[in-house]
Amino acid sequence: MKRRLAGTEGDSTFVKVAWGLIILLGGVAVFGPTLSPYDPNIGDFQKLLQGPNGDHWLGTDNLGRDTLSRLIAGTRVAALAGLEATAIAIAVGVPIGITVGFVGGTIDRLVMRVVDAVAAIPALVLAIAIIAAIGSGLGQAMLAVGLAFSASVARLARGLALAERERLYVDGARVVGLSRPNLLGRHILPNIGGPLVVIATTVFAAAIVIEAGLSFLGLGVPIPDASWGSMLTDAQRVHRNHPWQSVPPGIAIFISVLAINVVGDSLLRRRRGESFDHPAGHLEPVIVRKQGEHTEPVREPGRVLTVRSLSVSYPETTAVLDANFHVDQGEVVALVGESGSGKTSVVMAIAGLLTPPADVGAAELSLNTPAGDLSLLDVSRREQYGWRRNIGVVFQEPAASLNPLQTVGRQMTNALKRAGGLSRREISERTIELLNAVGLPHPQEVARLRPDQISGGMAQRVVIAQALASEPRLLVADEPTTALDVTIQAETIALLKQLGEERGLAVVLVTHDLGVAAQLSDRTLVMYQGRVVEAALMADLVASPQHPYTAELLESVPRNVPGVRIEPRIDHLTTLEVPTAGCLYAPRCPHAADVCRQDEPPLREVNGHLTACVRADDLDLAGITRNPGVGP
Amino acid sequence: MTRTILIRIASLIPLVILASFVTFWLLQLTETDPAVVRLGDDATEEAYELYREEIGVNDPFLVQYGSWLANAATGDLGESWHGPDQVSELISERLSVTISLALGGLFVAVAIGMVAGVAAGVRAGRPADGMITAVASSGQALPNFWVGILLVAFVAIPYDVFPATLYTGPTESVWNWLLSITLPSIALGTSAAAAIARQTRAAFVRVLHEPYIRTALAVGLSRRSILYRTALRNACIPVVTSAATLFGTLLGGAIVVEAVFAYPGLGNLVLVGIQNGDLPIVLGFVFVAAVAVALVQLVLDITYTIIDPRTRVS
Repeated sequence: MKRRLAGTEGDSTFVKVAWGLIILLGGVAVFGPTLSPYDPNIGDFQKLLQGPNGDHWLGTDNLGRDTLSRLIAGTRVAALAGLEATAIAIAVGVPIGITVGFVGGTIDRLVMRVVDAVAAIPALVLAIAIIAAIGSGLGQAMLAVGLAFSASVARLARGLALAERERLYVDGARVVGLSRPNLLGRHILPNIGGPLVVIATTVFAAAIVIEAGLSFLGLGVPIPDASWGSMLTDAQRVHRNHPWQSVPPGIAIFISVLAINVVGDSLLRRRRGESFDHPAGHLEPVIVRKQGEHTEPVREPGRVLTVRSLSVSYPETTAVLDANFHVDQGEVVALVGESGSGKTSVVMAIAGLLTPPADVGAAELSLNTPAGDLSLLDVSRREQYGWRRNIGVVFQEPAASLNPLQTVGRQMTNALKRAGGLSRREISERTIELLNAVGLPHPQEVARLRPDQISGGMAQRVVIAQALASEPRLLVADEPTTALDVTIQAETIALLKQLGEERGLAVVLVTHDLGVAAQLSDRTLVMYQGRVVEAALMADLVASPQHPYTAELLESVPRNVPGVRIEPRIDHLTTLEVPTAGCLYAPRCPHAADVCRQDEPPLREVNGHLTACVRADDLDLAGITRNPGVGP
Repeated sequence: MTRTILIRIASLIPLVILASFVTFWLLQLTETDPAVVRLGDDATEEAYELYREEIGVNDPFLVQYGSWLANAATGDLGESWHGPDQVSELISERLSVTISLALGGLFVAVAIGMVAGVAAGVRAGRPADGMITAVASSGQALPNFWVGILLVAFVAIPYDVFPATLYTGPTESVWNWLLSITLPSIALGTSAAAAIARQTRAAFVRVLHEPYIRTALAVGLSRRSILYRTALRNACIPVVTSAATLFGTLLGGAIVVEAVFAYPGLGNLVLVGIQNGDLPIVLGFVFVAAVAVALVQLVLDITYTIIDPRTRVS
């Protein structure tokens, strides 16, 4: 039920019905005269104002004319009106829009000013003005409506042409020497088609309503011709005693507009590619299921986070399979891997922030807090909120992670209020204290600024300050430096390190950058395609990797430039197929042997590392003797 | 803030002038002869020519437009061709009806639309959301004048609460004025309310997918606080932006709806004007409509800068 009404897939039933109605109405418009049981304009004065009956299925009007026949005649009028207005709006709007969008400069500005001015006059008012100038009648009325809507079509076309022009410059099509008409034909017109169809449905629906309105006012079809609007005029004269008369034409307008709107909406959704299958977005994260065998958690002193058998899957893929690790107080654990390795899924699962359609399960996901042990498995929404308050989260996109409409101080206040138990005065003191702690100079002033008024580096510091508001024991940071400038990256890393040490935080750090991990972490987990393939103390991992993938990552770390992205080997990636058996890394691995393609290798201990490489004992993989990122 | 408002005003003036220019030019296309409108079919050619000279239609186009605009700036929209009346007087007598309806419709649209849209948005993905969305999708397809006809037939006539045809000005009796604009405002606002509800809901859903919602959740803000503080305000922005265009549509719709209720508004004036070939009335009507739209745009722009401080000019 939920999906059928709010989702997209289920909508297709409505959309099919709507298409069916449109085809039906189109058929009635085309074959109207043959279908019509009576002449719509000739009345029988013996049969005035009848209700629905055997002879006249929808009754007769005040002149004894058959309502059904007039309705059928009106269908053709409405269809013609819609077609004419839409055709004119497109024929006028598209060339103007494309031309000025493409030519640009002064002409563009001048023409768009006029277009804006025309758009500022309500469509119906403009239509009335045009009718005043050139006389009334269906053709004129729809010319008017078409012209009124051509302004919005021109705006749309211009926007698309501008975007296309920008893109073409980037693509260098003009450098290559394509002529302008060629560009129009080859690049702009095909791209404009989709959006145009969507706006055409809007114009068509509006034209039907406006035609009816103008005919209702007597400015549309000439008497005695039938239009849904003019039928309502007749109906209104007698509605005191014959209210039925207003029903059939109104329903006709309603049904046709509804059908066109439904189809238009479905086209728009398809074009935007925004399905929003889960409209609650971030607001309703999934609940982590308990899976696998249950064992009593082992209580180690100083343990903060325990993760056992964590799996995250999506309808098409498995993002994380069987991840196991723990983090102790004061310890930094890094998750390293390329894009799509599942590392972000791991931390977002820990933070209780993964949204549908993710399916998350674990044997244990527990947090040791001052108030006792917490578990995230099979919890209620309320408990999920409680869990999150014990974890500070730092996100990848600092600028987008802050509410654009509130000042930094206000957002800090909200966060501190939730942390609880503070007076207003204490909250404002804590705000300044935290902003200070994350190294923001002039915290009083920063608190008064909005996110659009501060830099990305500052925004990330604010996000960190917010994460600390509830005094969590665990901080998870998802690519905290990726979106920042190189110089700011180093400062942010230093800040995280300092905060972790000062506050004895347990930290889970996600990064694709082994250089960043090397500077911050005590232990590191290397992930590849959702699997942890190696886990070791950072120093050991760097010095003597026990998995070829780790070695590949190490190889790609630029030795003296911290924070440069690992470029995955494109030649491998483009040709790679995910193997159905054996080690997932095998197709890419320079050391792959037959044994690698048999069973998926489990993690096992080799030389004090955990590694998922079956050949780990045989290989002598190259590490880096000096700390990467520290110098040449 | 004052600066922001002044800049908005300054940008709206050329828009209104340009709109009047386009209309003025459009009405030049007519074959209607003002002298025949004024003097009838049987006057002498000299008399015709004298009248044309008097009202200046023999002047070059730009001269005519210039003098019309100069007068319009002082509130003088010229003399009706058909009779001795001043267009500005004719319009101001009837403006109250049309503007009352358009604003009433806007009120209905925004009040009902926002409430329904927020109600759906905060329940995004739940059955109530689907119901509201389905009702709104249907409601959007209801033509305003048909709703008006139904309200007259099934509410005004059977129950003696709201007048079916009698308009009362706000200066005569505020209560009766409210009663007289209630049904037309509902008729006018229904489809628009549905559109706003869907738009608000869509904006809400889009906002719920923004990273800052996830941050709010991570920081520990309650569902309530995230929905009604963070999401609501962000979701309002696109809705407020589009409300000015909506007012234009409602102003056009008011012309038709006032015909349903037989109220003596601008629609009635301009229809008679068109029948008589009385173009100064049509011109004045379009001009006043453009000014009204521009004013509403201004008010909404100011509202917008209050909701979204990023748009303030500093």
